[in-house]
Amino acid sequence: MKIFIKKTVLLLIPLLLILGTPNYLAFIYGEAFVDFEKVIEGDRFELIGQKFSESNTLWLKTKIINKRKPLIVALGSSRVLQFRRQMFKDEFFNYGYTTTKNSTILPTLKLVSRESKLKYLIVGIDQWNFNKSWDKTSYPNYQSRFPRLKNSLDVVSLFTLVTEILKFEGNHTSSKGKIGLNAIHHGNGFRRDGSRNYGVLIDKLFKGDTTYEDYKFQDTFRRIEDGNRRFQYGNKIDTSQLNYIYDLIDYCESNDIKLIFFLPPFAPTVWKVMTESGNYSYISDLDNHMKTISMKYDIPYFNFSGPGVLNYTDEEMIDGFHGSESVYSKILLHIACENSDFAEIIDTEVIHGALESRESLNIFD
Amino acid sequence: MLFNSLDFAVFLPIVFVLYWFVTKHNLRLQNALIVAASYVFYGWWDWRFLSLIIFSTFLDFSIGRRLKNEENQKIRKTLLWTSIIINLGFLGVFKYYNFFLDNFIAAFSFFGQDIQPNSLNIILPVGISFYTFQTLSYTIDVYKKKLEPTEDLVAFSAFVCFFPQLVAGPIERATNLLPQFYKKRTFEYDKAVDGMRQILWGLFKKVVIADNCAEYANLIFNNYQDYNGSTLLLGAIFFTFQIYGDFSGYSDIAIGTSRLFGFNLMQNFATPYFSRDIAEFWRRWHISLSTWFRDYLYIPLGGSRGGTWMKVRNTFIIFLVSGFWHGANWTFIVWGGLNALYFLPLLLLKRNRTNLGVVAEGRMLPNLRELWQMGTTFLLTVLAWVFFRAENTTIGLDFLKDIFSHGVLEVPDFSGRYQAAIILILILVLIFWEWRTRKERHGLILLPKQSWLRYTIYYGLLAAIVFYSGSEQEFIYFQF
Repeated sequence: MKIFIKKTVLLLIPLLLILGTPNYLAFIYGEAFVDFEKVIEGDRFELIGQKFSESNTLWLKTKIINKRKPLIVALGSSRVLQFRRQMFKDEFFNYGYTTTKNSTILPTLKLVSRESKLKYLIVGIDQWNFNKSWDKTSYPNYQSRFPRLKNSLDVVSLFTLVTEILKFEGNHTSSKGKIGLNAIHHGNGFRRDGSRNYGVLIDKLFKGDTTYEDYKFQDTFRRIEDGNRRFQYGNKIDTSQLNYIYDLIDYCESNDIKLIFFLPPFAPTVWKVMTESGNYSYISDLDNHMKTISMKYDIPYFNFSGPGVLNYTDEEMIDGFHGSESVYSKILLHIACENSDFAEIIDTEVIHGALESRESLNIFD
Repeated sequence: MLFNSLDFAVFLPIVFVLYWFVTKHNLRLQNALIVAASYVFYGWWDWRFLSLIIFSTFLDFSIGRRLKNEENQKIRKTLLWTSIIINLGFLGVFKYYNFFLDNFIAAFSFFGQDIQPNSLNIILPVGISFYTFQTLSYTIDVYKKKLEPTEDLVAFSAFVCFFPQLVAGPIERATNLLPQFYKKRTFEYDKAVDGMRQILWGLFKKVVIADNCAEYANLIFNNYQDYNGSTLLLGAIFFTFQIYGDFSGYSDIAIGTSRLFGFNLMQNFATPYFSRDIAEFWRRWHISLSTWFRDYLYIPLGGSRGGTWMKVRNTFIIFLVSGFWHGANWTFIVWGGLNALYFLPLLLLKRNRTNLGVVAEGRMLPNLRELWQMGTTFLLTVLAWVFFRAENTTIGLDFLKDIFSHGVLEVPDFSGRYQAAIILILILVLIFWEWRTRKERHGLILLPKQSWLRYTIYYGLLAAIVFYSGSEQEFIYFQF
């Protein structure tokens, strides 16, 4: 028997070394073997930013929202992720990055438990979702509970993980409460309130780092030039998409939820190029339809596609179509001025204070 | 616990060491350890369902003991039927209740009556169909006095819950497995090495062949309306190898694991896709289930002894029940029915036992006639698998119709078809290798004598498992 064990061990040693080391690192960095049920149940996290796991965002956030039962919720794509708990007077959760299509907004909202205390819903609707020419199939909805495999990553990911760890040159921040390589190395991930911390990306922007992918919106301009990756051209909206908006209004009315819609911001120069090109007139068509719906159903609606009344600048943008916390603070201040219902829950005093004393794009950090 | 999981990779060596080193070859301790390990293995999914296994164990153990001392035929029959009704009752509630309910509702609504009874919101306990049949075989054999009832509760518990084959077979007969729990087991080097090889071969079939085929089979079956006939046929072929790799791979791992602990389980697959007719296919596919139905259903019904009508009836019963055993869905019943239709001409022409030996015995290659026979049998099997995989019978029918009406001679066209070509090459490697070893119990018996060549094969398979595994899929047969 000893010979059998010896031979088996010798046969498996190379395999154990090849797989064992990266799996151990994956464990240390919280990329695999994380029991999220326990993490959420015990509220044991500050930042979740796994490199290989965005596919479980919906599952994670749904678990958290049903545990916290917030009064105010922001719902939409990554373009609502900048709303933070500090901006509101009452319990808030950012349920953003869970739905990338109009058709999934209501099904996602319905995942929020019936016992929740949800009273105020802020919905960011991405303009391109109404464009007939947009290839929606390229953007999957995040539905799985587990990132890739339940308890380990695939081999390619494991080696990417090891390479990333080896070539990392920055300063390790404290990993306490941080789960995932992105969170630990780059400070990038979801905070406890569901909002997104872009971490070192914000520093890169602030320092004018030319290696940043959308430096001076060059990548966004490429999209506009090529008419692809969400920036497909279009004149009229696909009106069938409005049915999803009607369904959402019905649902909120019957569940006594106060609803607000807004079109999220583009960078001022990006917006200027878009409007001057005349290739995106579907957005003004959308604006007209939304205004009609807003009047008919008495639902507040705001179009923040361009700087307009908010008066934000390119420097306050994270990239061509994602505003920073400072832009989203201005959005809330504007809403508070225009709508008395939402004025009650928006903490304008705190927002003003944070805007005045801001030292970075993350105005509350 | 899945065989291809890290959990099992940790669990197996621990149990192995405890079994051979800590129990010091004490039979009762070894059996007790197997029971404990098996309960951990099963409870890893859902410990609540352990109560069902424990109940079945006590029930059949007690009934076996009563049968031993009971000579009154009426009481013996009552005891037998008590075991059958309770065991099949559990299976019926957990597996078939909602199916029957849905069909009753559909039937009533067909006649204009709307009824709204409560459906059960229950999950199917993993492997219930397997261990139920295994315990039933014990009670039936004891009733028929083919087997002496056991007085050893620990050995009987180990027989019912033996972890390598608990959740997906092979469905062992009490006459084969139970006596092995009474005998002193000593470690045999050759047996253990053979077990490790069979585990390796099984993992390769499951993780490399089945899981990779699954990705393309799922893609094509889930979007079948978008594809031409040749792509659909390719999808069906991918599923054909997925289910073979998945299930025969599981069986290989189960048999190999058992050998590490000194047990011999029955062979469950014998290169079924080299069969020359459908009767031979069913002698080579899921052998433990086919023989179970033969011994406990087909023969008691009269088998092929009666007239033509009796033969036809019994053939249909056994195939339909076998289909229904696989799942509470009409697709499985249609699959069973289709196989009965394939089988019937052979039975009526008395040609169902023509091909009993291995194909091309003593030759390296098959002759043209054998090649034709294997090809047609394989194609018939592929078409039947379409129903096995389809969500419902309408989709199954549409899928088959589209194969032949949407350009079966065109070039297959689907995203990732070039990557899929690699899987096809791997399937060809599997076919070549299994052809070479078609007379053997598993694929890694005929290995070169030179150790460097053997180790090259081991590392080649390990590398394929590690670097070319498909995305993790649960074993298909767990749902049964």
